[in-house]
Amino acid sequence: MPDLCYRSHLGLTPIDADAYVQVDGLGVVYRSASGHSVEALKSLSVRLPKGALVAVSGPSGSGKSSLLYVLAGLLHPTVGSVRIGSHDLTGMDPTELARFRCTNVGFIFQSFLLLPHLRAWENVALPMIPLGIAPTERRRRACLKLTELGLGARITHRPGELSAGEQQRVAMARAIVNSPSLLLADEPTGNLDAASAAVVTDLLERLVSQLGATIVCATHDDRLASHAHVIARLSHGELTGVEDRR
Amino acid sequence: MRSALDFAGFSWRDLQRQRRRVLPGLLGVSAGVAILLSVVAGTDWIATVTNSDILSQRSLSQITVTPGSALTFTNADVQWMQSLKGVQGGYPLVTGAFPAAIGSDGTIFQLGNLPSEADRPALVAGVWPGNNQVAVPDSGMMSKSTGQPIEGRTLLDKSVTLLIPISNGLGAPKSSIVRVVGVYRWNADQGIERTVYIPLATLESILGLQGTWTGSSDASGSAGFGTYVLDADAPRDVAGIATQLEAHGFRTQYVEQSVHGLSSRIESIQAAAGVLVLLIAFFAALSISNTLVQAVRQRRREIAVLLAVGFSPAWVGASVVLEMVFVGLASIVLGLIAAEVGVTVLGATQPGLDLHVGPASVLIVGAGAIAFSLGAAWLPTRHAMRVDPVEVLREE
Repeated sequence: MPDLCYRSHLGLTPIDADAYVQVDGLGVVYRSASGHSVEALKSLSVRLPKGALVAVSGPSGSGKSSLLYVLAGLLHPTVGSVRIGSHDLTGMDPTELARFRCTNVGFIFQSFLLLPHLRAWENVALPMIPLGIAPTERRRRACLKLTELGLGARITHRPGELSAGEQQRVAMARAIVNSPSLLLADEPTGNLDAASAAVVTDLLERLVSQLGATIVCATHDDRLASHAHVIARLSHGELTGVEDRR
Repeated sequence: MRSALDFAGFSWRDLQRQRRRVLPGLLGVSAGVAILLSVVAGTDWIATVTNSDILSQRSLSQITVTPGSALTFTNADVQWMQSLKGVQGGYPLVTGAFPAAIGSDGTIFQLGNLPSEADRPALVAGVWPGNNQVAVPDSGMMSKSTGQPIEGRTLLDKSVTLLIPISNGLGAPKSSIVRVVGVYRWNADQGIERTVYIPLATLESILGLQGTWTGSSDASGSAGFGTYVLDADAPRDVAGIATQLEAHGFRTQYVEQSVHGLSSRIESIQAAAGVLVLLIAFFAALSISNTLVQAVRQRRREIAVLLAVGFSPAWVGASVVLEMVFVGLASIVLGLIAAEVGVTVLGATQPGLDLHVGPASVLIVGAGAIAFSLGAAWLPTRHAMRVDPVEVLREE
């Protein structure tokens, strides 16, 4: 397998005619209240294909999560442009971005971020509320997703009553319940034991084939990365390489 | 519609989760609503009873009549006038645009030729009598032709000619016809007693058409100058009679005026209660607002998750506003129930006390409670809408 590594500072990007995610000259600077600023991403340009499992690897602080936040429309880039499909995220206002997230993006967090007072199915049904889907339909779809992910017996359980692996699967169900075209996962196996991580990895692979979605995973997990079609490496906020393994 | 119901349901569930924190503030606003509704019910009852028992029956039989309006000459003015050379004690005064004094021989001393404007401001600025009107002393004047004393009251409503002599450096003699519209009594000790004299016959003619009246004047008064407390033989439309008397220059006082005074005091009590309740509601709303601000701070993670899964900041902010509207509505309902229970218990224990919480009061107080709730929602909403999901997620 040849290494298709392109240096971001050379202005080169992976060759992919049907790129779904297009990032150009992306820069993100965090500014703290005390006036300190941290450059999380620097002049990052990348093209990611549709229907691929993309692993973004790199050490802590390399900008993996920041890239995911930008792709989710949660973080506005300091410079550069981001296009997901036909959507130019940099030109959207907060309401448009929220709508975009709701209909196009699913997000899986390392710490699951389930709402503890809601039952499993209610957590899964959350992203359907802004879309105005009827409560009965929300429940039906949420239960269906949970059952598909092997949690049929945990539908009415609250997060505190579930194992870490089960919680992550609930979070995955929440992320895919609106059938997003872009699924973002921030260290999805980071808080899981080996067995649970394997289940989650398997599920992510299945989702690529079932949903046809582009999945971008920020991960340290070599096993997860080994399943990826594309591996993008980040270091100190810069894209140091992209490996297309398809 | 479904979205709105979903939205309301979401806010309601959130509020239920925070019920223990919100409850004290909610009870405070409810107490304010209940107190204000009860006070309004009580004062409305007092006003209703007063009106129905006294005013609407027109059953008054006593009126106090005082001739004349407020004094327009001060004692100092009169004393100064009398001190002018050629003007002796007890001679007519003219005010308005034609200030003058009439001498004992009928000479007019126009005050316009006085050395300084500053010497006559009170008279020039006098509001009564009007232009070309004159007030004369009731006693002390003497007829130039007969040498007999002339009572000022006999000149009332008559026109007299005022002459302005040329000796005052004003050019050709001038004359002006003025009308005697007032009579005053003055002495060195008491100053002006009255500036208007109204013949007792006028009073008698008006009252004579209204049945039999008996009256008494104050001990020092004489006809036309005294204060009369008059009683009818039967209840009369005293307000109507008073209107007629006032058209003739009398000042009147009767119970209805006192009742009107009472009504204005009732309104003052309601206003004062309103202010107190506003304070109560303000601090209660502040408490709820603070509670929700704390709740929003504690719910940053939850709000971040909502934003991450597709809720808009406006949606999150609106849900906080709606929570406060729920609090306002709950306060109105609780306050209304408390007020109803309170007035019912009072009515049952106090014979004759018939209190009701009126729909208008509920609407006004309710609108106020909602307004307070919306005002209190501002800060927590601002906090909620400012939650930065990335900042929260990075902390995880």
